Amino acid sequence: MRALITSSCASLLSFTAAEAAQIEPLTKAVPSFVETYCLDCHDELTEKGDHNFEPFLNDPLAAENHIDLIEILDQLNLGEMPPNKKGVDQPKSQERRAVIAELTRYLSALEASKTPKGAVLRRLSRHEYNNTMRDLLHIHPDASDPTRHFPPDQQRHGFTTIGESQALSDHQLSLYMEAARFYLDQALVLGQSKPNLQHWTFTPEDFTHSKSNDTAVFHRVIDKHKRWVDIGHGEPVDRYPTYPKDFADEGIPVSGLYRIRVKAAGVGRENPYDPTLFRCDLSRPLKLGLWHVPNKSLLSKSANEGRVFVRAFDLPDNDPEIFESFAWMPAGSTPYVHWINGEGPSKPLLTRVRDRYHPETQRWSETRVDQAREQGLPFPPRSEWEPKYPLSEVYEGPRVRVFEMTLEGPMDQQWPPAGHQRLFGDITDARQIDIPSSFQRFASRAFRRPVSHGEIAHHTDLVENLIANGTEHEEAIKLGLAAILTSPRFLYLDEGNPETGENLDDFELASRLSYMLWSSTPDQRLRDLAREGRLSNPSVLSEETERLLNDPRASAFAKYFSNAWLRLDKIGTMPPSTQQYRAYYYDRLESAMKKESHLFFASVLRNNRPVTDFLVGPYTFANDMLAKHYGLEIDGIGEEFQRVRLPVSHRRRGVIGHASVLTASANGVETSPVVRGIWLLESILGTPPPPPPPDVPPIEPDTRGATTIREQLVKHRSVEACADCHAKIDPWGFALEFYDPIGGLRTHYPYVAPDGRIVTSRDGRPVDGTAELPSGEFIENESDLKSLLVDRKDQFTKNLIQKLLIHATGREPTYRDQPEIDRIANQYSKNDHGLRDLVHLVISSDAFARR
Amino acid sequence: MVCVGTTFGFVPRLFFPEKTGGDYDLPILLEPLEHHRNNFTILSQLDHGTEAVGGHQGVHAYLSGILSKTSKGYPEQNVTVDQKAAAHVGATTRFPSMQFTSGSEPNNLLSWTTSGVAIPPIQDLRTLFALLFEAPGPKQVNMLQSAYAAKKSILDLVKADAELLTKRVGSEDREKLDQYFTSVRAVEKRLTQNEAWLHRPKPKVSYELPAGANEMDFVDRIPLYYDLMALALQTDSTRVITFEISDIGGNSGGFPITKGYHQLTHHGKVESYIEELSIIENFHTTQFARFLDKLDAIQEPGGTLLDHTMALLGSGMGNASSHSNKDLPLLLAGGGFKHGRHIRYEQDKIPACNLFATMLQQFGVETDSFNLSTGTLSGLDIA
Repeated sequence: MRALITSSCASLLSFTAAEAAQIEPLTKAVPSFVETYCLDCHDELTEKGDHNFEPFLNDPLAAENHIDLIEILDQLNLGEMPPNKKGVDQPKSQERRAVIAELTRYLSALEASKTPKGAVLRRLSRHEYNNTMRDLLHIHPDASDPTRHFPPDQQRHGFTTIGESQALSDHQLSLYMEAARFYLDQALVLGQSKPNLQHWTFTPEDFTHSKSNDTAVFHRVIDKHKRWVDIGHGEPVDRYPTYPKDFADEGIPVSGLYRIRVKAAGVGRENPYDPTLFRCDLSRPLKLGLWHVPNKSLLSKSANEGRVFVRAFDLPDNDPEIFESFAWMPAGSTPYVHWINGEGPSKPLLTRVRDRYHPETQRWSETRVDQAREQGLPFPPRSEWEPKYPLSEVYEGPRVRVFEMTLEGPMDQQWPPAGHQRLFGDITDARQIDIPSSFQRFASRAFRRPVSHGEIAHHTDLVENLIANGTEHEEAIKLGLAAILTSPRFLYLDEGNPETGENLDDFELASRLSYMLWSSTPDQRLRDLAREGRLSNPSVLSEETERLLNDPRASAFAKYFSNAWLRLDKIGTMPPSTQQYRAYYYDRLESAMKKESHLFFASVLRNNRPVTDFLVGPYTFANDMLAKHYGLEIDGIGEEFQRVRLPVSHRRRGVIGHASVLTASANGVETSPVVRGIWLLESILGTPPPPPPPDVPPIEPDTRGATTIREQLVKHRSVEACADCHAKIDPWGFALEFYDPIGGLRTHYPYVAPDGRIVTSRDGRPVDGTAELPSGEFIENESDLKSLLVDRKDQFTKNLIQKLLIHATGREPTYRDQPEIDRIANQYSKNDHGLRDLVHLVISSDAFARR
Repeated sequence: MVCVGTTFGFVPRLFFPEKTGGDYDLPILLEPLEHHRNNFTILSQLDHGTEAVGGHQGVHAYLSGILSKTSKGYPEQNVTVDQKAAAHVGATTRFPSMQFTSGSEPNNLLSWTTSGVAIPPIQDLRTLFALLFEAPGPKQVNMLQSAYAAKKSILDLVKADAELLTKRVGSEDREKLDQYFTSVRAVEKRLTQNEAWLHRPKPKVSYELPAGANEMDFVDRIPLYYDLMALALQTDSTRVITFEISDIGGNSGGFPITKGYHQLTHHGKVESYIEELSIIENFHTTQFARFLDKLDAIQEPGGTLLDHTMALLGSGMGNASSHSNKDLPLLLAGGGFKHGRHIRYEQDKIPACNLFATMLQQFGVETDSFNLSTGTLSGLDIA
């Protein structure tokens, strides 16, 4: 806060008065407080500490005197002034707090009013860039994504699409050049001819090195009769993928859509061993993970960046089934499988099983012999060092059994591929391409508005010059196209000039709509409607909204809007401890919990459910692992997500019960009612508390558990500077203390041993979720919390509208938008039913149409 | 800045002195460094805490503090200290950084970028020599040159587009486009710098690699890598080098040993194993001492090359016998620090990343943090 305000001092002075910034002026209470308690020392005569407040008192509304206010606020917050000396009048605590509150309000409003009123030119965020490329060139960013090297998008309140907070670096610009070329190379087939459909069958032997076979179950073991290969190790990101070894040297010869079939089963889920030896969950089917990598180097055990997950399959026990999947893969790719819910590193387990159940398979290593010799212990003669048979012959524990894999493709129907067609039709000979007209058409699509020959003449001239000077046609054309895809007219959403009209033109409107609902570029129909000037017609706009919402691309809306609104972007930035929260990694909870919230949002939207479903909706979505995390018993649930009904007042009702939200509002190690309280105020009620005053030490989490967080907060609240805000924040967070940092239910905090270790087998202090709001309302648990939120559903709706507007326009609503937001909220509560209606209201609002 | 990393570390009790301060007795593995006693500091009880563990699979966190598999959560992934230094050098030298290895092993990749990708180190001595000192062929020059030229053409085109756009949009938006123009100019400048390196002759050295250098035993090759490293620094071809020492190759690497290197590290406290192991580990410190000799013999304005080069010897493995990634062996030489001591830090309190933050500062990077650091390292003062 201090940095923010101080750094803006200079620009603050450029405002002549509060009216100029159009905010509510400072109340009279402030000058009268200053006059009473400060003026004795800080008048023109004494000017203690170089501060003279007389000019301010003479004209309290003049902006040039407001620099003093920052200093006054700081001193009041710190409790340093007026000095605690004899003869100095002290304000009553209530009086002091009121002035602090007013000063904070006024200065933040002044600060906020500096942000421009219109949307500032915004750049495509990383996901928008990829989706746009996908729709322009019909390529597959999911399968090979050059933007994974991009620096992370800057976000503000979770939104990465706010022009004001974006910045561009030269590093990013060079990455744009490279990514454009990468995607063009994938999309265009200049000089190529239609590839033949090919078919490969991989047998168990193809997955093994013939030598690496017999001794351990650890890696993979081939059946004596070569009928199958058993995989005895596995974790979500596997260091030892099982792939066709010789095939991987070259991978698939051409890019395209491939069919992958794997015949596999799980074995050994029921076994004679002590079940406590196993860490993997044997109450559920073993699962096969299917992945692919763009080149062989990503199969090495140190790699994990760039491997592409296709899906996981629940395996039947013993009798194999064939599992089929389609994947688009770039040339050079190899598919691989592994046991995705396996034991993790399985060596320790196998050693325990061997020693306990199959001691005859122990090997006498040289080290073991030498050790025995040195200690004077007996050891067998060298001929008996090797066991008679390896562990793999007798091991009965869980393994994934793969019988066969087949690969077929490319299966794409169209030649040339769609992306190429869109640019050059059937022509694949670069010399025959009509450069001016194909460039003009492509630029109009890429720049999202009609582009004249003249506007891109410099592009086509350069390409033709290069060719005239001996550059290969293909090279020159790709260079020109890469320039279009690095151009600011492509990378930025051009929303025209507010000086030439308050509302967006039809092309700009088409982009705003498609980026809101698809996070991608307008399609042909939207462009046609824009060209005909019909899109701004309210009934057309409403029809198009429906059409876009019904398109599969609208899943981007559910995903990216809920990520920003519920701050799911924070998940993964503070990874939970691998030791304390093993399930988070081994049950792949991170992706499952995000998916739950995305599906939930999509469902509320699709079924036009009331927005209060976000608070108390009697259903959610889960797969087996998430259901286990929630303690839900669901018959036959597996890897695939399904809709789950939640009984009355079930804890998981509403997004506040989602593990995603509870993880995003913790730090991976501990939870805090403050952080979750702030999350709730920001994401649900839309009343974020002001940042803490400067120089107040934060609460140090007491990892030893000597005091509860409640006791610490009570102490914190006894500091006057903290009291007011925390009384508003903390009560909202206490009821959520029933959830650990990954959203698992708990009744007790973990026990922390005197040496600081966390002991999971023992309960620490019990969780106390009770709290009292400043209004006097009492909360005992999350059920109370949720009903209090439902009572405030109008406030919740307004907040949701605000967030939808940020998402749609790329700017933060200001006080000027408030009447419009109120109007939308009123109309919603009067006439409408659900989220879909609300989205329509937002899109038909003036705020949406404005530049 | 030079960072040497061995994949199995060192036997702790043979590496760390018992006493702290300046008056310690040299443990056996440090005896080869005796004459440099005042040129290095031994740092003990530093490591990367409880998350960057995983036995052999934890070794690659040596210079970052972060495992590759959990790196997604960090703003710069598992970027390593050398790459932060390399970014600082930029185009000032021909190579912002170089990665050497005498035989690489996936667990001991030393250099990782801010996108979480390991930079493959170069093993071939001839390739390293050619990169440093031999003029590239005309074909290669042409290829690189046309790649630079293509990028420059693209920048010209998009600059014209940006000018067009400037006329269309409002005044607030123009600030955003200024950022775009600035970025274009910066990329142009870098391309020009790269192009300039293409035409600038490489330094001439009288050094020659012996015939068959690449086929030599480990024990004979290691000095050659160090020779090239010293020359690279001396000619200012680069200021940042990592050197991965993992695989000693077949033939026991040329050591008089009877067991495999890895097998020896799991010595099970068998004395004869530890003896053989210390032959290898003693070789590592002897060669490092020889490298320091070389740097120390090169006079530069204001001191020797050693005074101007931080050389770190260490590993992401604390104790290979128990697969422990705690208490990493770390020895920092040269670089203008006040040396001559053994500093033992309070266990589990100070992240090893604090050392890297200090090294970055000394390198000239304006920062007071690095990955998991909680500050800079106390006790390591500038001479």
